[in-house]
Amino acid sequence: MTQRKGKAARGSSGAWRAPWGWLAFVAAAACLPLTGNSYLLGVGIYALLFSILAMGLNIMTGFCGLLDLGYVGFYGIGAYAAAVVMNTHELSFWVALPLAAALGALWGTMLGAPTLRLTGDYFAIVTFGFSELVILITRNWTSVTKGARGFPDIHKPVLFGYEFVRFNPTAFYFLALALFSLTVFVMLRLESSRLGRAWFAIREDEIAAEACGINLRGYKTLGFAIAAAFGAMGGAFYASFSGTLHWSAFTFSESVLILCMVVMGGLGSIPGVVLGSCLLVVMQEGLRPQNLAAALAPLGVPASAIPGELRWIVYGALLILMMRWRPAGLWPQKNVAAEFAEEADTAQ
Amino acid sequence: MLAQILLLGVTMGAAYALIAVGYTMVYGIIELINFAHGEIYMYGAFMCLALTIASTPYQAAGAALFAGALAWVVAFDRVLERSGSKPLAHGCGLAAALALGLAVYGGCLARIPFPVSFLLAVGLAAMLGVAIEIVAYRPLRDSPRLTALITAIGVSLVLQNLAQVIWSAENHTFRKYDAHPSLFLRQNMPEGTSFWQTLTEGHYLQGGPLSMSLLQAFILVTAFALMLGLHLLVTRTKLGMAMRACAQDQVAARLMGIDVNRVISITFAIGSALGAVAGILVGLYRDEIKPTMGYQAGVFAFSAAVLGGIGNIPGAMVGGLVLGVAQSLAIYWELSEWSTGIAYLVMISVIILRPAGLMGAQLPRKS
Repeated sequence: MTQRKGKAARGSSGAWRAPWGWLAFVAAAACLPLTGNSYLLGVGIYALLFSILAMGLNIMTGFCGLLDLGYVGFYGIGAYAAAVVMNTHELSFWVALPLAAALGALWGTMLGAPTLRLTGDYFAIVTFGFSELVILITRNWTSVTKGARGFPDIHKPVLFGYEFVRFNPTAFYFLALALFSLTVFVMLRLESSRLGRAWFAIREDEIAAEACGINLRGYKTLGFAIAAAFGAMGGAFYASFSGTLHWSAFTFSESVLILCMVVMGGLGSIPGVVLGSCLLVVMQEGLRPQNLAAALAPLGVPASAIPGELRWIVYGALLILMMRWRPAGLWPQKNVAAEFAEEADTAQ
Repeated sequence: MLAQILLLGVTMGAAYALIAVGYTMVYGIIELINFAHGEIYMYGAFMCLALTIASTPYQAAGAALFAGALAWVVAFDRVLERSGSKPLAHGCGLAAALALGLAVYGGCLARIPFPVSFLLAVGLAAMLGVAIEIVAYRPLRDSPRLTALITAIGVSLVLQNLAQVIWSAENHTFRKYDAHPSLFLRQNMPEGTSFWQTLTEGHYLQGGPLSMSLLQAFILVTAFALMLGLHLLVTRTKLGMAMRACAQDQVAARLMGIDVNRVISITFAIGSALGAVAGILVGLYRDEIKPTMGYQAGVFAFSAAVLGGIGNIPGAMVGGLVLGVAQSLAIYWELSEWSTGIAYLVMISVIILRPAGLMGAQLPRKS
């Protein structure tokens, strides 16, 4: 058992190799606009956006082993910050995007520094409360966020004189793909860096990590800030892509959805998290009542028999079943799989 | 005016306290934030509603299938524990499921007198809590805590949306439907006057500047009686001693001959029953029952539990009352749109500044 663990640890901290698999994935994804199907592109944009968010959450929940139940709070902060910067202050999207990410990181630090010294449960609850407060503020701070009726007509990005249009999603798709590639690159570098190794050590055993000289609070706070920055970046993209913001896009259920992606793909596994996001976004489309009704109509199932809440029941059941039978996810990270196998051994 | 609003705060606070006790008991014994507890509160209210009003056949069938599944799980577990024979346990489970399912189906269609449906709903909610523990949490008792917490969120998601499938997302009220006549306290009330109206509009207890509706008095008396009973149970009885022993050290408790699984089941049953009582009382008081009601109430109650010091039963009671009064003061100062934020602010600031809570002396275990 110890031998297996040692090998896995070496594997994750190996030298940098060109990620051929990722390059192939991005190249294949870049071919999607050739189909010319804008519905498919819309789904693709959401899959990429949620992959970015899930990879960000994965830093906390996957790498550090801390449950963050309010990740969507940073997504919301980024989205509203970008909207305010672009519309109220008339700045370009390319300024708003890094500003939103920086604001996310700032909030991550401010929230993380006092709370990350607490146990995991308490951290989960604080993050949850934080995201609910974000919603409350976006709903009630009418002078800035335009209140409960939503933020309308957010400006589109303009690149060298070309304005992105919602009805032609190809440009947005490539923007999402670029941000996705950036996120994957950063994640791969983080995973094999000193920082990543410190996070894994914290996840495996906090006391041992501390004994090795790792500053628990510092590394956790840094992880939280980086995760928040990616969440806020995703939010800024979403604000510009959707053109309107409404608080209902940032509720607790979205946090759970992103968590579900991370858990399903595999805690800590970057390819797994992307797989989980793509699967869940596709499943979300498939489980929409009208799509489901269209698919089941040939079998004689009436549309009225299909409940609208089905997808959340499926997500909830997925969380329960994955935790029970495949806690390391569909595409597990080696260390996590070994850890869970060991837990199972000691339990028996 | 202020006194009147404070009374409202105390009433809601008593309900929060009843729910908070469930969170705190479960956390005390298995160190799990039971995210599904708010849903149990909601199911208590819905089951009582479904049994008291004349349900549609679809709703009755949904409620009956749900109750049957609960009966199966609980009966299976108890019989398996006693006899060790799986076929026998499944047989008993099936029998229990059929019996309870048919009873609930009949009850939903026929309407049951309110006091009976109240008790039945509380019993069903207790079974729900026990069944959740058996199915979802028990297999994960030795896993990392992250797994159990994620499972709890999954359970909450499934239950909340299942309620929407059965009863739809709209607001339900006792008043709106053709409820059993026992909801009316006096037979000579005008037609269409509900229990709710009888209690809130019909009779007031006057005392100086305060006037208290009968329903408020009913809620306060019930809540305080139940909390007193729980306190006596935990501190004075053998079962309470077993519960405290399990909370302290499960291995040692097992060595002393305590059936830990049974004690955990009983803890879930008591916590869930109290939550369901709160659900029914608040459902009557606010006169609205909907599938999402458990989410917000759960958050408030959890904040109350944190405020009092999680794992500490008297703390949860005090925390609930403090939170209820704080929220009513927010309404008094015309900050009502921020009153939900108070719960979150209380939760976050207590966790950051004084993680042990108002009443807790011992700091949470670092792990």
